[in-house]
Amino acid sequence: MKRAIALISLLLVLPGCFATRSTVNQQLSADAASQIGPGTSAAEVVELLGAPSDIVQLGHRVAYLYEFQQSKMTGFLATVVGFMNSDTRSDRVWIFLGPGGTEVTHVAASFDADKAQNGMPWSDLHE
Amino acid sequence: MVGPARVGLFAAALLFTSCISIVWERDRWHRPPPPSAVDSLNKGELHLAACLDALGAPLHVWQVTDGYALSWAWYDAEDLSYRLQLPLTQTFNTSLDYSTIDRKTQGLLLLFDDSDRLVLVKEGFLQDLLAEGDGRSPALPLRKKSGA
Repeated sequence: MKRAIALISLLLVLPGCFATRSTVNQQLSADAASQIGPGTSAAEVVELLGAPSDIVQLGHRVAYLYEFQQSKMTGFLATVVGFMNSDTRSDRVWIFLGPGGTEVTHVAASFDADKAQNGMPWSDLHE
Repeated sequence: MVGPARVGLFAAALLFTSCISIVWERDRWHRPPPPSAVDSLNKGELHLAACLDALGAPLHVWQVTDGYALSWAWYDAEDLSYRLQLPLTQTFNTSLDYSTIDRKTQGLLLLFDDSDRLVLVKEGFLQDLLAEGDGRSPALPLRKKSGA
């Protein structure tokens, strides 16, 4: 009987653990983004990176957004106590096009999606 | 042999676990730009290219009157929640939820004029910044960035 109670207790206390990874959009190519600079045509941008995630009208100019987001979630759920952690980072490329939206004037790229990590609430995830 | 008291205690413990839970949760969403990069925005007249070089790609870009706005946003929120449920009848439960931290997204807002010149830098809670920088603003604030 004692062993049965101990076993049941152990099963109850054993944590439910999970580690998940979820993404939004397709991963961006840093190589392709690096080929884009002032003077690149809008057609070349689309050829290199595909259809943008968003297009923003800025007066007579236009900006294209390319974004890939990655989230990692970790959970440790015991009977009464639970710990959960979520970390979300993204790759983003903004392409600013000049008047008429035909030619690139500025490019901004940040590639941080791979830095998303699994961890616990007290973890000091690498920044 | 296990006495009835121990079995009762064990059963009570089982019941207790269904009534109470404590969850420590942390949610990290993006990271703030490096402070040194933000500090560099207050040194002399800057244009879009220099700001993008310093800060990387913004999270949001949108048009405002006489220019456009860029924002970066992030949060790192910890939440410790307790839940106590008391079964009073078969169909009615009362529960209490406590949260120790109110999650708020922080942000950095840059406003540019039509000539791509930086005219305002502001840090704070994102919802306040968006209210200031959205398209409903009658015009870009006249304050120079050093006064932000």
